Amino acid sequence: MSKKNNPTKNDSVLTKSVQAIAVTILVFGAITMIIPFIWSVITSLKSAENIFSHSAFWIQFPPDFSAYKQIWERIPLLLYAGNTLKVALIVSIGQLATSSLAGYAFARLKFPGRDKLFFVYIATMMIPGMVLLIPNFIVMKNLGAINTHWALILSAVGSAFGTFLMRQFFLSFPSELEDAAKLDGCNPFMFYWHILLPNSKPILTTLGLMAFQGIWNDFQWPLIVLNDPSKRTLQLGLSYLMSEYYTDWTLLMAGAIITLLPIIILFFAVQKYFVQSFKFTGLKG
Amino acid sequence: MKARLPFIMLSILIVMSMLLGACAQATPTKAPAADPADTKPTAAPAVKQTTIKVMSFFAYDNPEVEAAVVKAFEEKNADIKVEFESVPMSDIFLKYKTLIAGDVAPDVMAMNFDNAYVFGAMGALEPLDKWITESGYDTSTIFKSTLDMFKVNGVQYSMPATFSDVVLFFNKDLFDAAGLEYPQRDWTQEDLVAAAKALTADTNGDGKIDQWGYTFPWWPVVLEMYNASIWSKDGKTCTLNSPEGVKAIQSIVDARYEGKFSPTADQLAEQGDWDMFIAGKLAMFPTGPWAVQPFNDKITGFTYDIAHMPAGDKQATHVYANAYAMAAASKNKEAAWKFITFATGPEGTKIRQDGKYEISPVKEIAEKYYLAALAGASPESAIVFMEVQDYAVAQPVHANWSQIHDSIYPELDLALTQAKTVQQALDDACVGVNAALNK
Amino acid sequence: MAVEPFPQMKKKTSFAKRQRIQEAIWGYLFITPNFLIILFFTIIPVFFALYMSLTDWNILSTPNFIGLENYEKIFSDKLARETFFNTFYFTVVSVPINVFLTLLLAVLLNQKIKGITFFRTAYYLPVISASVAVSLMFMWILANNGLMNQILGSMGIEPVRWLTSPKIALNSVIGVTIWKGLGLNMIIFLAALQDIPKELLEAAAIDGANAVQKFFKITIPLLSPVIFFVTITGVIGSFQSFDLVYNMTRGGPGHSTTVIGFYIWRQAFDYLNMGYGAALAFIVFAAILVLTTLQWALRKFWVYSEA
Repeated sequence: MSKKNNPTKNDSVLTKSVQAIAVTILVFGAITMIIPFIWSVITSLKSAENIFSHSAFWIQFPPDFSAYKQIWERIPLLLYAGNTLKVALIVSIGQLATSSLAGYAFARLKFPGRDKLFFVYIATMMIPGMVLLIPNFIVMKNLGAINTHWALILSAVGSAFGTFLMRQFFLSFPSELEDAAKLDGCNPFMFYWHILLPNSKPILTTLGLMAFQGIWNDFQWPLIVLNDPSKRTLQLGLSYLMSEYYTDWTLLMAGAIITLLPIIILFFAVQKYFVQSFKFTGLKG
Repeated sequence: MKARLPFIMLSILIVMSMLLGACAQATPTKAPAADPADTKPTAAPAVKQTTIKVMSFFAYDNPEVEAAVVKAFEEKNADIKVEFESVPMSDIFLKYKTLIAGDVAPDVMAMNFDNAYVFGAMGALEPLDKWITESGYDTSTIFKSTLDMFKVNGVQYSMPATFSDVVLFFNKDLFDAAGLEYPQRDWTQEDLVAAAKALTADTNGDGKIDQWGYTFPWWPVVLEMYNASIWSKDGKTCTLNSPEGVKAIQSIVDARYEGKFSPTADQLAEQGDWDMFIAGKLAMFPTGPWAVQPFNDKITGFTYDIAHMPAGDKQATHVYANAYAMAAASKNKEAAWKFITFATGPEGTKIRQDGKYEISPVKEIAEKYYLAALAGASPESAIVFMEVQDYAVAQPVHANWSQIHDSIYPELDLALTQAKTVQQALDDACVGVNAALNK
Repeated sequence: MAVEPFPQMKKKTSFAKRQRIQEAIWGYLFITPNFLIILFFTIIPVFFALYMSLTDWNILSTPNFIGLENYEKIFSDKLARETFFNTFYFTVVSVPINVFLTLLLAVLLNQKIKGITFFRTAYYLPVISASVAVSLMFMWILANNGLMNQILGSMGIEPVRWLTSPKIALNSVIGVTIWKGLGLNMIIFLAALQDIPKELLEAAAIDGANAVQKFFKITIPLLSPVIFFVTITGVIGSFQSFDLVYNMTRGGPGHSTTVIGFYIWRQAFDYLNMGYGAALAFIVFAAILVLTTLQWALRKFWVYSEA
């Protein structure tokens, strides 16, 4: 915000106090958000006998890494993480591609039946997913995809949610850009490729991240469609460590931290794309 | 441009989805795809192999145990190959249901007592009586209560592979410190309450109790102890709200709020009785042989032993068992039966028992080896697990068991937190139970 | 209604017609890959489920066609009514709070503040955690003597039975749901805020608009397609909420936290009334459809660039 141009003094005072309030709210909120995670880390580093014997934020020193060691020794962690990473990456890229194309078509191209079809899209999201579990399994079986990673990939590379999201974003894309592109002889695909996508990084990043984490944390579907131990995903693999009779808190929390870390790293890595740095560069000049 | 990769992916996806789409449309209503077992090429040229699919939750968190059973079976039966898959207990039944619905049920499925009943009653399992007679299988070697548990209307649907029962685990050191006599077989509720009260204490003086006397077993066991039942003999009416039922549940409420020697639901939410016992903060804890291995691994600083459950209006406890069943839709029933008899027979159950997964339902194996395997380790009186067979009965079960359970559980919750009187809660529970019984 | 004539063209020329056909071809081409996936993994399964709802299928044996019996049964199912009410309450409370808070957060996090990366990550953390872990975490935090009551206790407030009181438990579950979902809509709004041309805001500032005026006159209208999205997916999401209830309360105490998603699961997979569960699912579908159609019809009045 350009303060120099601000005509009134009042406004900048307001902005300052607003900023102070903003930071206060953010700090308070952020504490609420991360306390449970700090607690998880602390818990995962306690010895079993100390879990209940001290207050929640009592930190054991030296920390006990045995839960992490146990996970490392009892399941092929890297294999499972690799499987999950492979599937999640393919799904994110695939979902980005199909959703952005479809979202663009629904938002900006005119074709017969467009709005009706789009309404069907939204409607498909309204059926509670659990009743689709068995039908989906049967479709997968007929495609011959059971016990392959295709079963995880295929059902997720296209998404009504993603299409809806992309459409809503492309709706507000300035139409001058599209007109200019048309005059330059761009066909819709060229416009999509050269102008729309490069100028939509924040939302593409957002959707990509959502697709990635959806696969990363999914448990039930991999449980049902995979049989082979070597094909297991991370969440599925970790479930084999949990006892039938009791909750092993250190193990559980260590597992949660291990699955969380890669996505946190990913989040940090793509963070910068949340901010549009060169919006509409295609237009100027 | 660096975003080229998505595009290559996309074109592949388009082509692929069309190809896959086409092939799926060509055969939409065709009979279910052939069982994977049929299409498997024979592995060894010399022997013609049958492949069966076995799915199990037995010792899933220690997969070597059941894998050893499978391996021993394959060694003895060169003509049968077992595709074995281990699945966590909490999710395996959902997986079975989906696979059965998709017409790709495993040939052999591990079952627990209530799901075995439901799956059997719904026709998903092969009745085994014919197989037992034809193969001349001697069932008298197996504990009768475990066999009976897997009968639906008198028909045997699964063969027990493990058995367990609920007994009283107790912390010997806490009893010694309080100068109390250890629990005896002839203990009644009065003895239990007296000991439990004496063992309940606030050890660090902060005004909050941090050492408890007793926690209750699962409520159906408590019902059994007071001659109460959930449904009438003909299985048509709810009898939970009978005076016996009210007395049974009231005993839990009284222990929590009057005698105050048993933790409330809120207190248990912080730390479960399992963890409390391991931490030495619970003197008496009813549970089963599945606890032995974890307890021996984790308990340090005190010794524990087991005893008979103190009698309510009668001496009672429940036995449970897990079993192997054959899918009604299996195409390899001969081989499946062979596997079941091995895995639930003396050899299979011994491997499992040695792997510390519950007790063998085969009398000889249980009596000869279970105690021997535990010699020198806790619990000293492991024989109690066997003695319980004198009076223990199987937990009653019904084809609509989960619905019955879910009708009772929420109401019980309200009774145990004193949000409702016991009578009121059980009356209300019976509305749902009656509906489920007469579905 | 589908093909709107180009407003700027009074007469249809053959050139315009050809262009229109071309555009339609591009349109169909672009939706094809996505549509095929939706067709196979949602639309076909939905019709399958619709058929299931007309049968007495129990998953384990062959289904019998029973017509609308399952739907009739819903009207006499007291528990179904209770769970619909719970779900409605859940939606009415959680969606507005979620939209308000996430919009607020996104606006705040769109400022130049030190440590912005940290804040964004912090708010996004719950979104990326698995529900099971979050549930167990909160079962402990909200236990009678848990962290929450310890904090309240230090301020002299009586302990609250967050998860074991039938009057409070549903609110606790809603609270955890909001906590877990904040980051999701936050990053969507954050992305949307990037699309607001800075020139517009600067121009408004020169015209003497203050921050609040700018927010309501420029930001909100430009965000409206996304607010529309977030509201619709929020309603859909809360009508289908299942994970946290399943893991934290199993619908209890009593039936106080039994929401419809959980009830459908129970009927379909625990009680093996798949037909009845599917029928319930289509009632949910109808309810959301009515709500969405309403929003869809109204969108032309408030959603910018939809008109």
